[in-house]
Amino acid sequence: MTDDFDKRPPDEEPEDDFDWLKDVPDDDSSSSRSGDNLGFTGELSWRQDVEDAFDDQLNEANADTPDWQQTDNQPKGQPGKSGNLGFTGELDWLRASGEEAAPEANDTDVPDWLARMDLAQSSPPLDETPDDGTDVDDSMAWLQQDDEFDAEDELEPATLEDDAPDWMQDLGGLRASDEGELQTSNALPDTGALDWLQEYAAEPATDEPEEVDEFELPPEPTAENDVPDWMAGAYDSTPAAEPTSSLFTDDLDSESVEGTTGTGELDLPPWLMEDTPAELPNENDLFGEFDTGMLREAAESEYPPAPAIPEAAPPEEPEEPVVKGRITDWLERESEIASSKIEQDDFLNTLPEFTSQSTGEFPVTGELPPTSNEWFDESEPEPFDAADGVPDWLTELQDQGDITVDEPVQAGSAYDMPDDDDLFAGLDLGDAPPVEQAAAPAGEFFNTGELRNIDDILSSYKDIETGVSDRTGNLVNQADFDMDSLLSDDELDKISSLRQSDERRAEMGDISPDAPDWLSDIGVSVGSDDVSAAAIVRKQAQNERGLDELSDQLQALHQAGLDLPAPVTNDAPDNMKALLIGVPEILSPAPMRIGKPALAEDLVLSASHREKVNLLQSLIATDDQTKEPQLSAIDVTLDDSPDLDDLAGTSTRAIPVITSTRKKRGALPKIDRLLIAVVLAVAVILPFVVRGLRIGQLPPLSFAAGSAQQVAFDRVANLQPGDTVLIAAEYGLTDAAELDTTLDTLLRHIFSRGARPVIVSTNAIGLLHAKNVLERGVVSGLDVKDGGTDSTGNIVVSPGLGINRFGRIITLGKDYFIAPFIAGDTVGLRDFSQNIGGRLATDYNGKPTNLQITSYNDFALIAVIAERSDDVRRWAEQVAPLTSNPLLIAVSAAAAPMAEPYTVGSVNGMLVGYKDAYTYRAILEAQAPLAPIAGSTNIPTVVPTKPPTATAVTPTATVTLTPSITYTPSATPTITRTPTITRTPTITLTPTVTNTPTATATATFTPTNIRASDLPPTWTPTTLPGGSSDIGGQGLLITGVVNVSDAVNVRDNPSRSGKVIASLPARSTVQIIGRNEDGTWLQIKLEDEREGWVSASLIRINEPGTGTPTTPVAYNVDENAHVSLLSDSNYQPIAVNLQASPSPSPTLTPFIPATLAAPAAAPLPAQGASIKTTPYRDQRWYGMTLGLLAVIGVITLGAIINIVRGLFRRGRK
Amino acid sequence: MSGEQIGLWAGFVFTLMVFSYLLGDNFLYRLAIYVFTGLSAGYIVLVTVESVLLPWLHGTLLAPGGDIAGRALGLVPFILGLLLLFKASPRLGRGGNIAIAFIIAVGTAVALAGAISGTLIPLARATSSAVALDPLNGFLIFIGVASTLAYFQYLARRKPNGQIERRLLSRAIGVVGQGFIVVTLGALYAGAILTSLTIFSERIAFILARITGG
Repeated sequence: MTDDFDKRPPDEEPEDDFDWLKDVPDDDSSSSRSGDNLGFTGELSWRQDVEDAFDDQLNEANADTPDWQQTDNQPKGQPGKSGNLGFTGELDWLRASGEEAAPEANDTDVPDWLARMDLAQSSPPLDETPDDGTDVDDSMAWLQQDDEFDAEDELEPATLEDDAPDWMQDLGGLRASDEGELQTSNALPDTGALDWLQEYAAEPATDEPEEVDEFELPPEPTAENDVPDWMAGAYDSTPAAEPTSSLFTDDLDSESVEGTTGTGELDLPPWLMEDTPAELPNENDLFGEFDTGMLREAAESEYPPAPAIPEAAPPEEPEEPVVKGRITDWLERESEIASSKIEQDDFLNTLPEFTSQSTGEFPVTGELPPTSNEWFDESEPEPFDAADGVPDWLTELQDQGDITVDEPVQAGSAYDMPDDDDLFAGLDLGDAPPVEQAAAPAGEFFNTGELRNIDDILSSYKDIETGVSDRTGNLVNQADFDMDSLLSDDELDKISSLRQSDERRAEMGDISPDAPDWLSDIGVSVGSDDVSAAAIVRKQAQNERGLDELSDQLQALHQAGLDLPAPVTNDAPDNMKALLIGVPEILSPAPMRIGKPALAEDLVLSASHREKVNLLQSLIATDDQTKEPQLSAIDVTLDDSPDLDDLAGTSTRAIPVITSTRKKRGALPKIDRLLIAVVLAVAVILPFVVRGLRIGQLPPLSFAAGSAQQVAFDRVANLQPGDTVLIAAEYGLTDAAELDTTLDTLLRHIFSRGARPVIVSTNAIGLLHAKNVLERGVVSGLDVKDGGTDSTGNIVVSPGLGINRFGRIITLGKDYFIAPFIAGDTVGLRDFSQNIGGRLATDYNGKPTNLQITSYNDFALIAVIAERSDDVRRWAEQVAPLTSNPLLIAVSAAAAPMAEPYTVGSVNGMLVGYKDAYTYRAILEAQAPLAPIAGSTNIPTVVPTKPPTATAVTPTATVTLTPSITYTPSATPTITRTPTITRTPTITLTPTVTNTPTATATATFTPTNIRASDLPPTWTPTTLPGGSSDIGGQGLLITGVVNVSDAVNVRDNPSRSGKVIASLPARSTVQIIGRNEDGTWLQIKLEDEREGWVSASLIRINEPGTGTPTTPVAYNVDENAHVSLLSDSNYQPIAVNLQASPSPSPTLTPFIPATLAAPAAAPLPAQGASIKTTPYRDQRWYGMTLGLLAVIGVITLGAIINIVRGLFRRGRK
Repeated sequence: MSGEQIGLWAGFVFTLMVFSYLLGDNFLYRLAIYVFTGLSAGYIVLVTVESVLLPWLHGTLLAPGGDIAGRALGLVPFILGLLLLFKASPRLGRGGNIAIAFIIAVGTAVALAGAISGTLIPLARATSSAVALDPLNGFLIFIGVASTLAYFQYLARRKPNGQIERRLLSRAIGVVGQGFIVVTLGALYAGAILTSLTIFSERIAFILARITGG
């Protein structure tokens, strides 16, 4: 990327910056501020004031700068001189302090090759005689050269002493040799020599021909004699392909430059040979964009009398590239080596060996000769990167000598070019020919100190470019003026990669641990004294480090920048009009904008440009969302000049606050977030209302055997009446929606076992909430005071009193306890553990509990219901080690992963989230109504007796035989012998069958209900329809009731995929004829004798033998009755209430199921009123299921979008 | 309308107010948050005073027939609490450091003792015993624990060239441990989502119940 910001409009002559080209002493004392040379730096004139205002501060800052850097022989008031900055391209604070900087040269800080360059004019007060030879005290004189350059003295042949390098002598010879051809730029032979060198020799001919006459044409340089090899090679070289010209080519993208390094065939001094191609590039790109400070100063100072030519032969080119060092280290080391080897007076031999690894460390062995092309680490901001060719701005400004501003504006141009007089009204061009117009007076334009906006300058390129031609008359390559070069993808990519690469950033920041701070900061500068936008970009990109890491000078500069006032207005057309008469009207139609977006707004940019500018802004701008609006350097550059009174704190003008034009993201809801929320909400809500979206399986109705959940259930189920259970309700309102069900279920189970819970908590809110759950949920609605209703028929609720569903009176302080709040978290829990008896002596109201608790072992069970894993850990650490009782923990799904490790070891039993609570409750619901607690009052006591035993009665028949013979004699001789025998046997067979049961069939009630899995795998169902009780010889009759409020489907096979063959209405009774293997489906027989399958979860199985009483009216369905543990959802159980008529008979029809182990009995209906049920229990689960699917979908879709976008972006790049 | 009905409808309204955050930060959301925060803070203060401070006061300083030592002991917490109030003053803030130091020291000691006896030893024991009970799971647990611990060890050797590099084996084990950590974090994330959906579904059910009168 080229520094477009550094470019000067072709219609404006940077006099001060280029007097070294013209060899014209700069005696424009009126423009004494550095801002005068802003023409091609993008710097604004107001900066002059800023710099002046910073002088005091910067004087201190300069203290850290090496002396040779502070050397400044510039007379005060000389514009644009940065001799005090050397080639560092130091920031403007250095330039602003140029006049204060002590011009003391310190030979210890200067490389000897520089020290040996005895510049006659380097120090005006000193003897300017070139014969002085090497004077190390004035070693940097040529850098310190002021504008009072005495060309005559300078160009004395004697100045080219033997001790001067060949290349330096050749420079003088070049000028002299070209003296006769200096009038035209194209008079220079196309030798391939450096253009700026050619220009250096050519420029004086334009302005000061008499000085040029002083030059003597030296002999034709030969590589064998005086001309170094590198120079000879330069002559012999042919233009090479255009090197990579990039903003970060030197300091950022060393890899890309690596391959473009020269062959090293030339003997050019390494500091000039860096990356010098074997074939010189074209003149426009020769120097590309490398840091111009040193070269400029060198040119301004004229080349000094060269020191003695090093006698040593040019170093041999190594066969393999050696590791390069950093320029910072090199400079230091060079200074040291130069001091130690100053007697040798051979700078080539004293140059260090650089290695290719820019690690900041490199050995200076002195054994390996310096490699011409590998002296510098290419990642360094290379001030002498000759390989990049002539910088664009230099080429441009060189060409400005040939600018013909009277070039007609092209027809159809986007902008109407004004007359030259208008356009350059402030330039005072006079009647001079175009070349002179551009060369001489343009400085006035910049010296007006009123240049305000670089954007206008940039915009002017588009319009003026038609009038820009090089010295050959050809149009200058307009690509250099294009913003595309500034905002090219390659460059922006480099910037982005720079920002994103910590490694790279670290590499860049790691110049050398020993390097001074100011040298570390050199890398962020572009020009010697430019604070251009590009420089700031580089600075911003490279200096994304902590402010405290900056040097004092930079911190001072940073602070000064922050203290700059905000702009007064967002529109400064008047200023622009005053500054550039006629120019603003013809430039960009976009209004001048002040503030950060100005870079994007003021330019007429295409969409692609704007995108790039936005990226640039993101690189440059500070985060105005989180910080106070402050002007960045770019803002300052584009902004109005600051009010110095503000800087001094004396202004009474209120400092306006920058109003960012960027929309605050918080002002409107994020569409993506809102969209995702809507999708998730819809996914969760729809199953509540749309039956078809109730997808997925409900939680199982039982726990897996051996699972932690089953262990937890069993531990509660094994509680005995009177046991005390410690319940730690360690959750607040946040997770109440998830854990309330768990707590409610556990409490119901505990109460059903006759145990007494003691609720404690280290969360005050959680303790209150648990109390409410218990009193308003578990036992509420059943606590009927005085056994009935009030006058209006409503249930009178009196927590803690009355008869409840648990078959006993639940009373606070007797059946449950609310312990005081445990304060202090871990410490408090520890205290509670150590003094549990005392802490439980009273409840939360201070009433005595009369609990006989002395340790945790007195509890039958300790249950911890927590929303965070930390709560579980706390109890596991502070309580579990103190008791042999295992812990039962119930946590939310979020805390489960971290809490699960505690289920091993001392903790047994774990319930996770709503799913386990659902199953737990389902198990309780499937059980029969709770058995009464022995000894409870107001409960009909059923004394279990021996099951009825059927005695087989054998019919007996009694046969009674009674013979009867009657003999009657007669006296009459008549003898009639008629024997008459009447045999009348009488047999009366009267069987007497007495079927007298010998036992009274009194059922033994067990608090278990019949689950589908309890049914025998197979049985012979009765064939008697209608539930006839005469099933003894026919088979087993088992019936069930549809236990939901909606109709249920009857399918042809035991699965949800089965075909629906019928529908059972709610609460209808159905005959069960079988079940599947795991008991999840029941086979039923419909009234039409068809058989089908129904989910077991929808059927409440009646006790065998009781489903078809001869007087079925003994039980009726009471929807309001609640005998099971159901408390929520529309999963409404069919409760049976014992009605007054007919009276319950203690004697039941004896029935011995053939396959059941124990005789079943009719459940004992519990008494109580209705309770408020939590609706939508199943719908909640379905909603969660669909919502989870939606979450997965959203996450997956987001990932895909990001991947596609990344690929698209990568492909676009 | 009974008090309970009012409470239910208030919950309904506040639920909607909190949900309004989906449209961005707004007054309704803030109002609901402020109400909840204020109520919670106020309740905790009351509970603390009634359940902690007053019982302690009555049990020590105001205990009938208490001895001097008991009363003095009862005064210590109040003194420390008073010193904490000094933290509000920059000049006297150092006085509160005593109470802070006491709290931190005691808390650290208690937490450390509990961590050893309640976490480290039981988990180590469970890890070792898991190998015997279920070789496969035990092996996985062992690998997970060992590799995760290896991932968090930063010992390395310095090579002759000055570079610090971990051994290949150590790095490989660390990678495995990193995988276990990733799985754990994924499980945590999934659990958080499930909890959020549970709470959200409960609130939806609550709102629908209010609307439908259920």
